[in-house]
Amino acid sequence: METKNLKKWKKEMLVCIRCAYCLENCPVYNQIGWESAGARARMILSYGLLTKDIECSDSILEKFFQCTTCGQCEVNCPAKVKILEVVKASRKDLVENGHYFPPHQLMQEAVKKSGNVYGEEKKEKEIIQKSAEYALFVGCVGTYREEESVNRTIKLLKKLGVSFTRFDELCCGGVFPDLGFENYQENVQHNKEEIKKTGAKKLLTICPMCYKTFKNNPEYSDLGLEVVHITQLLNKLNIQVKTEEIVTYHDPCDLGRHSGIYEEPREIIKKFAPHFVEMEKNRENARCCGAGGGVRGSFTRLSIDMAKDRLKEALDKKADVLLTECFSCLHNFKNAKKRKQNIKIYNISEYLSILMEGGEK
Amino acid sequence: MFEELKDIVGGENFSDSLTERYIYSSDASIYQSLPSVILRPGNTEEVQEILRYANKEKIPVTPRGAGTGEVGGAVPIDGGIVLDLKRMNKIKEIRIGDLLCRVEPGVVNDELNKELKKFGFFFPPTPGSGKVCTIGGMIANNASGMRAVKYGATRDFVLGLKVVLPQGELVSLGTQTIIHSSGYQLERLMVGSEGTLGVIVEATLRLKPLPEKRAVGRAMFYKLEEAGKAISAIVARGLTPSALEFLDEIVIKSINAAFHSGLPEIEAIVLFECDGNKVSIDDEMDKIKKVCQEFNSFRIDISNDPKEMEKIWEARNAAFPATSRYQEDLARVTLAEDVTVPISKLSELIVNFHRIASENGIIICTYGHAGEGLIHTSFLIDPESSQQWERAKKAVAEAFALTQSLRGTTSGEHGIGITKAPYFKKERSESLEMMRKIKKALDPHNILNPHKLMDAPDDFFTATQLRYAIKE
Ligand SMILES: Cc1cc2nc3c(=O)[nH]c(=O)nc-3n(C[C@H](O)[C@H](O)[C@H](O)COP(=O)(O)OP(=O)(O)OC[C@H]3O[C@@H](n4cnc5c(N)ncnc54)[C@H](O)[C@@H]3O)c2cc1C
Ligand code: SF4
Ligand code: SF4
Repeated sequence: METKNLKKWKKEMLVCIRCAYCLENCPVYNQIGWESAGARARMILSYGLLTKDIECSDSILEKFFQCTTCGQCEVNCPAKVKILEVVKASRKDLVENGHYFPPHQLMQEAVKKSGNVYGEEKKEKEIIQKSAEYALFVGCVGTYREEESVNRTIKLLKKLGVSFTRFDELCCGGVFPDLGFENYQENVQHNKEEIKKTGAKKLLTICPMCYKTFKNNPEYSDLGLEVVHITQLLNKLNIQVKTEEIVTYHDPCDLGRHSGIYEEPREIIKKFAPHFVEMEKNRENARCCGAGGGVRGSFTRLSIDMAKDRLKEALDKKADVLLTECFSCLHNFKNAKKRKQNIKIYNISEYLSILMEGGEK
Repeated sequence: MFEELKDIVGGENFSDSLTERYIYSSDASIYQSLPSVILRPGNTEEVQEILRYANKEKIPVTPRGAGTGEVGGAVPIDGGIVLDLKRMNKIKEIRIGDLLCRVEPGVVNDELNKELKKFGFFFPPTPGSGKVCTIGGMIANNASGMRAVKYGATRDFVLGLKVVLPQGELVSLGTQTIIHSSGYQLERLMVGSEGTLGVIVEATLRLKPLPEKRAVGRAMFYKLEEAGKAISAIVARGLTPSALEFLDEIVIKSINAAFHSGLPEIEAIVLFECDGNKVSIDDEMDKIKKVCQEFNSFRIDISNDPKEMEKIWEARNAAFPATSRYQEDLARVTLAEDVTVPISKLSELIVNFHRIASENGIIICTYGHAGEGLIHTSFLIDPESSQQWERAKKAVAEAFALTQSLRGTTSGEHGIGITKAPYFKKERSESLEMMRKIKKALDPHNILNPHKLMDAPDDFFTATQLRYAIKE
């Protein structure tokens, strides 16, 4: 198998001391229990593929695509190996050699065809105002799977007097490099043009994956405006509501480990929730919800089991409400929640909106 | 042929897939060798059944904890079964009143200490790999860590063991008392046996109360030799630090390169820690500080602030992984990792290691548990270059010969496995026969972790496949 992407990361594979620290707290290893589920195994397999000591097989493909790319292993790694770069390079080489999971390819086709990862008919958006400080980008998961949550967040922004506009957005494409596929450049171009047309000074995202993509992906480097995550914005605003409920917070991997935004969400929550509790694993050690890296699409059972484990941590803390600020986490937790479990699950902005409407005190 | 094994552990704890076998073919050593099958038993009965079957069919069995061993102990050199014991991870009981706990072999060191902390106690041998390594692996390797200088190694904490012998028989060794003089100390025979004599399925471990307080110090030296002398003097004057570590210049530079730590790039840094109550700590720290000054340490920082102490130790803990970042075209390979000499010979050992390195045209950096006379030596080579391996091989042989001439030992804590066997056999030539007799008596068909320790091949380089793609 040709490994032109992996080649660039050979040093990382040689630096890996095979210490297995990356197994600790790896959400996939915690579920599966076999060493093959952790990052060390992926380093071993990557070097094996690079040196042609092994050939690709269905089970190797499975090992590479069972990773949620949550980044916990990189936090643990004492050698600071760029594990995710190696995993992504392996995935890219696999895909380029014709080895991939059909749902991932379908996703790419869907994005080309309809501009969203679900291949669904485009939803019309309310263009709120023409000239505004922020251009709001909602993203696929919110628009097509968590519409109610999005509507509440929009209501909140209006209520707080945030000057924002929406535009004709298409999938940002952030998921594709994680899956070994190329982003669809026409969508990138479209997004850049539409954002420019709004005349806004800042791009506001709710989804942390979109935030990370616009902020860091080279294809958006000429965007020319500041990218802001909604937790950064809300933290600056005056929030007057309160709740007596016990509230906890789940750090989305894309917001926490991948973007370093840990404190803003907590600062906001503490303003309205005096009974805030941390889960045992938090901030850079927060357990992944299991939705990322294409795992939800290809290994649904595994993905839900990871979400159940994280949910259990919130329940152990006797939380009434589990907050996060990511539509993927939100969606996965809701799917994992059993009917008899009383915990409520919201994005922070969504919950705030409900509180401001006078609900759920 | 493996259907019977599958029946014992159940399909979900059995794998003969090539991918899985490939992943379980290596540990943190330089080797890889494919097993035929991996089994993950969940209890003692399953381990017994597996060994009975393997003994009958004469299939090699290699026990495995977290696979963090650095000498190839968990590498199945003859193929066969890899027995992954991580599912057996229950802490069976903690009896603080008796100063002991009983655990299964797959319990992770740090997990155990997390539970013990709730009672104000701890299991002290914690190795650098404590986050992931298992109690079974620690006992089998007689692992130890930074605090061995005060508390001792794993062997000092093993009171009793349950072991499945190679023919499937379950035996209880040792006691559940703090001391015993009731005959052969067979539990000790299992400590350091590296999975060659039996599979540990339960351990009774001694506990210690957590110290009230700790303080950490860091002393900088322009001259390596003076640092070595200071270390010897600290020990010789009856001071009892709970850790006494050192880093050489290459390690310091590597840490700076990898983690931007901003340490001064001098010949040596000595780190020390004292634990106990406040009065005793202040007194000991003060005395150690004075010794360091006597040997010309130009700067000494002392702290008892938990955050700062963590920062100081961070640099030490970074040493192992950081060395691979010293130079772009080099990486660390695990060779003579943990030679140990009488403490007074430490500086002689280090100075001569650097000489051996330069004579052979490679880089060796040194750091480690100085207070125990243990030196970790990182060999930095291009692991894909056969020429560099040739040089490393020569340097390793010279390093071990030097160690033996100083009356040191081949391994202080990582064990012998495959990598160090040739030198271990020289060092222990007088007791090899006895070891072989013990092995034969317990394992007549030589199924349990065969060809390790005294039975390992005489050339570590060709003993089995290396995990690097070496080019001519
Ligand atoms: C980053 C790093 C730092 C390290 N720091 C230290 C240190 O400070 N001090 C130190 O002493 N070591 C250290 N080591 C070496 C290693 O981690 C220890 O020897 C550890 O105890 C091995 O435990 P394990 O569970 O990984 O065992 P493995 O590597 O899986 O196995 C080690 C040996 O034990 C045998 N074995 C495992 N379980 C059993 C069982 N239940 N019954 C019988 N035999 C068994 C195996 O067959 C093998 O021979 C370090 C390693 C790394 C990678
Ligand atoms: S933690 Fe880092 S160095 Fe250790 S095995 Fe994992 S990737 Fe390798
Ligand atoms: S990124 Fe997350 S899921 Fe993937 S190996 Fe690392 S810790 Fe495990």
